[in-house]
Amino acid sequence: MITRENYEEYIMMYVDGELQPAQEEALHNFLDQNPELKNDLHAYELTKLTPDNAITFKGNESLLKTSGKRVIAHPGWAKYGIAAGIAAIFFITIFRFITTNKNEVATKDQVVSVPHNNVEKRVQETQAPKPVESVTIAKKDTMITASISYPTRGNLEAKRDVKHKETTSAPTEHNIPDLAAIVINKIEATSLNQLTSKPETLAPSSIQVPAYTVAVNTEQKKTFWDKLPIDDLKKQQLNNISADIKNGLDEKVLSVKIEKRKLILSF
Amino acid sequence: MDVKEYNACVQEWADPLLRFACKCTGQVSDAHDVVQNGFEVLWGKRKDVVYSKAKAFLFQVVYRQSIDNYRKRVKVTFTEMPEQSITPANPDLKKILDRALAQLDEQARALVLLKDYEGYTYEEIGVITDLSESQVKVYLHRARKTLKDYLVSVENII
Repeated sequence: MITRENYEEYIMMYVDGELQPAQEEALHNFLDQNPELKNDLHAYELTKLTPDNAITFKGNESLLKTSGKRVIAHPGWAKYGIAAGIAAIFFITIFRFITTNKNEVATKDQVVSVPHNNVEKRVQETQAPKPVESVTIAKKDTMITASISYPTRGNLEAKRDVKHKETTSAPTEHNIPDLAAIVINKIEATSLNQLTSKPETLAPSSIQVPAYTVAVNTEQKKTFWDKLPIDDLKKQQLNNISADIKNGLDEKVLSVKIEKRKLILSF
Repeated sequence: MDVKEYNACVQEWADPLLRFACKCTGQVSDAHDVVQNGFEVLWGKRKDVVYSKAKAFLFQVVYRQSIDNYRKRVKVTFTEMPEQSITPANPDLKKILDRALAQLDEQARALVLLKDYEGYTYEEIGVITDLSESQVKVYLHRARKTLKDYLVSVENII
């Protein structure tokens, strides 16, 4: 019930928008019955504030967030990591290349001394004044000759010792390659001294070194098949196939079994 | 609340909060700091505040901060609102209302602002200001009567 004692409360609730529709109707009826109080309604309506849209938060972009995570590490670390990886691969490649070249040089040196199986080695020593001492390594049809000038007595004695060992001990397939290496090494070691010293005059003598067959068990040059991770039997079989192909297949049948499937090639 | 919702709150409520804080503190610079602090608090508690309650949360933080700032100052001067003589030739109602608002205490002023600027109900204002609904109603009506009396007196002068 709206009365003259409580009408202001209803007017303020009306201004605040808190009255129910029925209460609003009751208020309007009361004011119609008391028109002198309508000025109060007008005055309270004037107290209602309106926002000042001219006031704005300038720079609210600074309040925006892009992500909840903070970047602690250097943001460009990935680029440095990739660069370091490329550099590491580059240097490793160069290192391996250099190492491979050195190995090849060393292998060539070894091949000169003992290049193949079943090498027939013949060492001939001639006496002074013949200024050339020759060491002949014969491989069936080909011969490799190393010449050393100005033989000396010590050199010859060393050779004799070596030859004595060669003659006293039966040449076997195991010790003969070592023996040949010793002879060649001694000749090479003494040859440097001979270059600076005058040759001694020795009575002509002839030391005949019997030729013998040397079965050299040196490391053969590895074939492609030897590098494969398969057992030795299969490697040997593949080597045989390669040899046959290399020597020419003549009326042969090549059968290759690949995972339960057999491939037969006739030539 | 995720980052996207938080940014939406910034875009939507930064200006209303600044207007509210300006009227509460009486200084734009203070209001700016208060609003910025309010969003920092919201960001820190974004996992606990859902988007639908973010506006009330922001107004609550800004209201408390504004009241604290106001009470720390010995005297409030509305420097951003230069005083103008109320003469019959310049009867600017808005200016008169600003002066009338300055007559209210900080709490009553905040209640009027929340009601008129944002249209909150008595209950919602009570949540923001930690008052009961009946307290909000009483304080707000008292403030409204003060404003009306000031306007009537000015009109009488005019």
